[in-house]
Amino acid sequence: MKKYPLGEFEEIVILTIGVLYNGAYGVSIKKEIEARLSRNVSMGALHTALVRLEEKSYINSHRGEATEERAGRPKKYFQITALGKKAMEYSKNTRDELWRAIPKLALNLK
Amino acid sequence: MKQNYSPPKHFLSFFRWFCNPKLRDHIEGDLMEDYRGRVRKFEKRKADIKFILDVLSLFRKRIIKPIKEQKNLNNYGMIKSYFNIGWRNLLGNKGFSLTNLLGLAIGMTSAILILLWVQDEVNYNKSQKNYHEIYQVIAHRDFNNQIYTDRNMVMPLAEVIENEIPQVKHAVVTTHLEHGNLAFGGEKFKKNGYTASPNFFEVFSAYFLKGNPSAAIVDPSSIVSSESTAKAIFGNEDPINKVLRIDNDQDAKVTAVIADMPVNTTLKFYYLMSFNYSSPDVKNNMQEWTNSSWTVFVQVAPGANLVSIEKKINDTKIQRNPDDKDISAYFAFPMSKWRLYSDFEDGINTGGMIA
Repeated sequence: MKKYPLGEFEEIVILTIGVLYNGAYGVSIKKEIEARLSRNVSMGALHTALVRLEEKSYINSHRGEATEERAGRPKKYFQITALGKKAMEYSKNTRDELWRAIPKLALNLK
Repeated sequence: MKQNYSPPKHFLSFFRWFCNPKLRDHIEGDLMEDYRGRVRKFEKRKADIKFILDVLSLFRKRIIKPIKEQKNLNNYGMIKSYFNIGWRNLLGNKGFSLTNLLGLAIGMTSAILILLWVQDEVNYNKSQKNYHEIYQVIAHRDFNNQIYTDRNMVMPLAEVIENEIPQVKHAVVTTHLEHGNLAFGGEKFKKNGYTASPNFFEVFSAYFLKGNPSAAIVDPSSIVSSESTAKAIFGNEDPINKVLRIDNDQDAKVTAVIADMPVNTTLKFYYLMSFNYSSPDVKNNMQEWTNSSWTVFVQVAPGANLVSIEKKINDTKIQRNPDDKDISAYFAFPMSKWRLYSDFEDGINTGGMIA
C-alpha cells in the first residue's frame, strides 16, 4: 500500500511550490518548472496536479491579489502543508533507500 | 502601442463554460497572464494558438465542472455538522453530559409515565358503549342537618324507575361487590362479582367470548364467568354448562364467558349472576321501601332531560315512602364523574381522585 500517494508530476509540482515558497501560483509554478526542467508544462496538466494535491491536503491555498496583467482575476497562492511535507520526505526516503540498495557494480556501466 | 490584445473570445467563453466554478477565476487569471506575456514576446497569432492549446489542455476531468450542479439541494451537511459538534461536546464534558442526560432521561420517563397514568384515568369507564347515557342514582340524605351522600338504594327502585319514567331506557339494580365462593369439583375459588337484575348487560357492555349476552342471566340459576375465573376454575375445559356451587347454598350453570373487564372500569367483576325474583328473600326485598342496600344505575334515552328524570325519581320514591321526603334528594350521577369526581361533602360534589 502506498502510504503517501504522490505521482511523479505531482512531486515535481509540490517541490516547485517549495522552491517558490511564498510566490507559488499557477503561472509562476509553470514558468519555474519549464525553466528548471526544460520541459513544456501544459496548463491542464499543471492545474490538474494542483487540484489533486489540494484534494490530498498536501497543499493549501489562499486568494492573492488581482492584477491588471491578469485582467482582474485573482491569483491563487499555494503552500505546502505538514502532510505534504511528510509525503515529500517519504518519497525522497524511499528513493534514497533504493539508491543505497543498488550494488555498486550494477551501475558500473560504460 | 497599447498591448491590450484579448485572447480568442470563443475559446475563453468555452473555458468559462466547462470550468469548475471553484477553479474558474484563478485559472482564467493564469491563462490571461500567460497570454499577455506571450503577446508581448511573440506575435498575436502565435499567442492565440498557444492560448487555444492551453484551453484545450484544461478540458479534462478535474477541471471540468461536475455534470450535476454543485448546488446544495438539502442542508444535510449543516445538520451533520451539528451532530458532530454536539457529539464532540458530549464526549468533551463527560461528567456534565452524564448528569444532564441522566436528568433528561429521568425527566422524560416521569413525564411519559405521568402522561400514561393521566390517560388511563381520563379514559376510566370509557370502554363502556353507553358511557354517556349511564348514571348512578345517588341520594343526598339529610339527618339532623348533617348531609351525607348515599349510594345505597332500595331494591325495587330500579324496576319502578324503568316502568314509570319513559326517558329512562333501563334501570339496573345490583348488589355491592360480593366476594363469592365458587366451588367446583371439590375446589373453592374466591372471586369478586355482582348479583344484578337480568337487564344488566343491556346497560353495561362486556365482551362475550362465549354465550349470548341477552340470554346469559335471564335464568336466575345461571352465572356469567369472566375469562380469568373460567381459566382458574376449569383450566382449558369448556366452561359452558358446567355447574358451580355458589356460597354453598345454590347452584349456577355457566352460560357465558366474558373477557375480563378493563382495569380502568368501575364495575370490575369476575362473575355475574341475576337475582332470583321467586326466592322468598328477594320477594321480601322487592317490597321493602326503607332498607337501602343496593346500587341502582340508569341508562337514559339520548338527549333526555336529566332534571325532569331526577324529579320523577324523587316523586316515585316519595310516593312509596313519604317519610323519605324530608330526608332524601335523589339525583343521577354521570358515569364520566364516577372515577375522578366521586367525593361529596355536605351535599356538594367536591371532586375526588382529581384533587
